Amino acid sequence: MSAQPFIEVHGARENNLKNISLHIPKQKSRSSPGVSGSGKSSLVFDTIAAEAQRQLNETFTAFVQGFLPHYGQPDVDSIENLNSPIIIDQKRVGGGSRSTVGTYTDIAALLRLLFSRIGEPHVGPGFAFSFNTPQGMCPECEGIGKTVQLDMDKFLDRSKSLNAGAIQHPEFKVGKWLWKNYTLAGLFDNDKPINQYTADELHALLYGADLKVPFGEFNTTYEGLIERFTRMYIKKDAAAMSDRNRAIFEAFTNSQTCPLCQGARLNQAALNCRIRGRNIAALSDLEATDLLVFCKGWMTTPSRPA
Amino acid sequence: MQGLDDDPIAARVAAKLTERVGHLVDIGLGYLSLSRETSTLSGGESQRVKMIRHLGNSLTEMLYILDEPSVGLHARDVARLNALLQKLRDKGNTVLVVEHDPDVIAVADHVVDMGPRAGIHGGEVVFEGSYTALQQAQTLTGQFLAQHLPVKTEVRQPTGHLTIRNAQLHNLKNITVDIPTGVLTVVTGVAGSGKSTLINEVFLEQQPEAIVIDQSRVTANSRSAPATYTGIMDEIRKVFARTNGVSPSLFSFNSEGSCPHCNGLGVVYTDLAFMEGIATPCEICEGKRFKADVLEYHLRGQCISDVLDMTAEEALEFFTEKKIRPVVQAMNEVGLSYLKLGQPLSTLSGGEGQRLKLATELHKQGSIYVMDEPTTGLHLSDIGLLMGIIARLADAQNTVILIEHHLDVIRQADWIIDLGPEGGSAGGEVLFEGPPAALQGCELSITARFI
Repeated sequence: MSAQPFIEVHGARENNLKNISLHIPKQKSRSSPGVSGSGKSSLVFDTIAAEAQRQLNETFTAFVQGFLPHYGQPDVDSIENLNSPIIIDQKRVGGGSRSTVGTYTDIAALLRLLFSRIGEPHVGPGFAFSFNTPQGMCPECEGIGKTVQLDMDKFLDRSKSLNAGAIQHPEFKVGKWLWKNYTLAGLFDNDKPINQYTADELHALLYGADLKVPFGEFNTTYEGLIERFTRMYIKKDAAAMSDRNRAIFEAFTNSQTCPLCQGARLNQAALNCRIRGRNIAALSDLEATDLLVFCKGWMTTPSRPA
Repeated sequence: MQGLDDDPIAARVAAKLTERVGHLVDIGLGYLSLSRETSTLSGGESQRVKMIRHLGNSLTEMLYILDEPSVGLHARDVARLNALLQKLRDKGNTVLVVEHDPDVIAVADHVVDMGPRAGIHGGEVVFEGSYTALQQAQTLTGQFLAQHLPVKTEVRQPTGHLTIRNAQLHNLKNITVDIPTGVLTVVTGVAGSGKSTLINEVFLEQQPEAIVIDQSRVTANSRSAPATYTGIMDEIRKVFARTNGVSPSLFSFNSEGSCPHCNGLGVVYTDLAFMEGIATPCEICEGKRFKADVLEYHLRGQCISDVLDMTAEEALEFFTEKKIRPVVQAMNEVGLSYLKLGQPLSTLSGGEGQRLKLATELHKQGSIYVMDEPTTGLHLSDIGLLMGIIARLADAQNTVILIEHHLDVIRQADWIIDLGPEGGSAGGEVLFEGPPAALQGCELSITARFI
């Protein structure tokens, strides 16, 4: 048992708290109901959790503290006998498309380690099974499992000229800086509808030409529409974009399952490595309930016939 | 083939793996796969996944602090959650939970009830002790613990129905469902049974004009507040301008009238290089966000800064304006009476944000409303209030669809669609369709056992 059986809160005044004091028994589970806005969160999160986390953070060097979340000093006289806190809130985990339940819980790391030990044929250490490392990721989709292409029919209204707003994407609108890259390039008749372009002109518009575009005081390197869009948008992670930008991005692109890895995210060496006939991608796609059954199978029966 | 029996390291890794996957199943997330992207997880799922990270460690005498872990959990899964909380405690930890669910409160060794009411009427400890003592206590929580809404027997008659035909997205098993129009429908089922897929994905694709009140965050930059979000700020500025004969833009902390020192933020951020930055109240406007001369203009004795500092409850007494009152009234009705008009939206919880959305959407002329767990974060006494609002929507012959686990809400439905029987691939079937009184006889349904 703990030497001090209570967490003692004295004079808590954060938000609407009315200078309250209370003793909370330790090593007990404890609930704090109360109507919405009654001060539950002010007591539990803004006072007790904030103070415990703040004091814990102060045990680190100033440099490390710079990376830790900030908790202000709560308005309370004193809190005695605090324990180290672990705060489990409801903020969404979020993360980009490289973050999965497996990576977040570190269960994926255990599974990778296991494949590196007993998978057949032997491939290499655990990171050869990670879609987030160059050693493991599918070379075609770079570990995302999907490939994204620009949808040219939506991106370009070929019945219009550049000056009439042939390019549909909002960042390429008439008058915008990106639009000037094309109209000032001197490659095109800016009043000619795109569907009347010659093959060479169309190629230059879409895939680029070796050229500098004069912008008065400076020049920029000319890039074709597809090249530029791929660099500016497709190489970025859509899950990390703002809602608005992602909506625009999705309106102008088609995504399809990666033709090489079939969505498994890993390179062929990793996918060919199996335990009991299953590769790591197949196991990762199992619902946890089924994966547990599979795992228990390993534990109870010998992995090769005796 | 080299196997576990030859490789003690692999055997240990496999044992650890089995244990961790077991945690995932224990906590009611057995329907998730490891390859599921975390950005697609709901708030409740996120919280349970975070718990998994801590369950494996052997640290003791830690202080675990959880915020409403029962959110999004079916009554059956709450029992599993309770077992986990008790396991944490039995390892020698202290577990501190903010919670409204009576089933979670019931397993607490010690309960602290805050109140007596919200906002300035709260902030005191009204009860401390055991659950059995709480049941006898004369606090709001104590009174409502014993009280359950009855199963509704006189249900509204539908005006027609909308049909979802042959839905097979994700785990749905080619199901066809009729959603009655003009009544309150509650969609239930254990976590992962396909409720969200059926309503949020399949149904909303068919009915894009439906008004959706979900738990996605209300847009929160450092300048948004309930007043700007609900749109009443424009009216408030106009009233101030008209009364004082000046321009409305003076009364915006985002434009002309803002304090030039802090640009209307009310605080000044000082960057301390590698130390954490500090926010201090602006020394010029003293946190009031406006220029001093703007604060000279009054409306019925209050300056603009005073008005933004009002709670919705105070604002309801203050405003007589026709365009402002209904919104403020709605904020009170959805249980946000304690919220200040100028409080930054970034400080709102998920449930509060959702109710603010509801307050904003109540005036819109819609015909279909879809709400994803609107009782999140609501105290038992506030649920009755919310159900009153929802009943009014249905009385006006709107089609209201709730995805909900709360038993009192399920009992008050006109029509129930229960999905299951389990989560993930073992779910996706319709177990029951009909009025609540008939659900009790349904043997397949897990929900029926808890009604």
